[in-house]
Amino acid sequence: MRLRKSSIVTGFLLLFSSALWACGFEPSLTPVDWATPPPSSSFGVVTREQQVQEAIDAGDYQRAIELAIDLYGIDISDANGVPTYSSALSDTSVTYDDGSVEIGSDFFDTPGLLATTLGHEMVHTHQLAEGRWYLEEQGVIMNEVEAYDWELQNAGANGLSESEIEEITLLRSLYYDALTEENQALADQAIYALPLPAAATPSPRSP
Amino acid sequence: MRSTRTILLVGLVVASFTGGCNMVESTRPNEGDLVLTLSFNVDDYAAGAPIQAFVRLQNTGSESPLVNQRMAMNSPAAPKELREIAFIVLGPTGTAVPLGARINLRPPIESDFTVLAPGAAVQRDYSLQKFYSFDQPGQYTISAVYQNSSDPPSGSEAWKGEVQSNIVIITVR
Repeated sequence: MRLRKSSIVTGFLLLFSSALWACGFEPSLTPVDWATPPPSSSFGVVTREQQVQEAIDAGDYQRAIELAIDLYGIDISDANGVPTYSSALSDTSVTYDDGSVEIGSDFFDTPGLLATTLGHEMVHTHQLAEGRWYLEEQGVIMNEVEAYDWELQNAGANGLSESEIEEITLLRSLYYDALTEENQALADQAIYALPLPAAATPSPRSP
Repeated sequence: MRSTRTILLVGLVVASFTGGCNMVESTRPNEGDLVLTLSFNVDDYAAGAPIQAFVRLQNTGSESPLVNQRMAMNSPAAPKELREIAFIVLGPTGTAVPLGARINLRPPIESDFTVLAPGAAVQRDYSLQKFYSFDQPGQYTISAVYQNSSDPPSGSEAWKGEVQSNIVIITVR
């Protein structure tokens, strides 16, 4: 009986040690310094800001645009293709009346600025799709007020800094002040549609 | 002897300091000293061809104004702070061709301003076919307006005002 018990124990020990060997387990004598946290990258967590910033730092502005659209959830459904980086437009971002969008290098200062700029231009593509791309002065101004209002409403979600919000607020006020009192009252109620002539449908433009 | 040496030393320090800061004093130009010239690579274009406009702001006076050299283009409807250049394009029927774009600009920054020495010029080119429809064949009458109403963030006083360019007629076949 005793012999049987010991053979069971021996068999179990054999099985256990072979399992450990198969798993490649080696008891370590290296002391673990729990006071020192491991480098953060070892956890594999990379924020959306870091991903977009990495593309910007690498000079891959087109990749930065595509990442920002994806990671910040920018709706490009009304745009004519994916917005593109343009080295020719250093200080400008543009939505053309065929629905295409180009972004200049000045808008790559931070991932949040890039995201909010893309969102601004997408408001213009929605206006175009909805027949609100106005051709007259008050309409042009109202189109811009709506785009800046979108930027301010989404400033938190896009992680904008205080200074970035200040700049957008200033730009918005420059356009808002150029509206007539009547149109200012409409903008105050987030009514951006005006009874003005608008571009009908996007017409592809030669490159 | 010692005082001469001290004066020389102080002079050297001041000279190197101002030289290091690249200080160029700006002065107010006289009326008409800034001249805006609009030109095109050719004056006859095939339909759909790129139409490149060149706008040059030249100081023809004897003063050295601080000018906004950004020369960013925007809609004539845009606030002055966000528009240095606006084009006026009249189509073959004589009606204004609207700007077919929404342009988003940031406020001008320090490096957008430069002192324009007598005889010096700043120039920028624009791909007009991207911003205006030249679909209708015929003659287009084009001019540009440069204006500045901003000072640099440092607070220096920049030239402010408006300059109208010459008028150019181009033909689109």
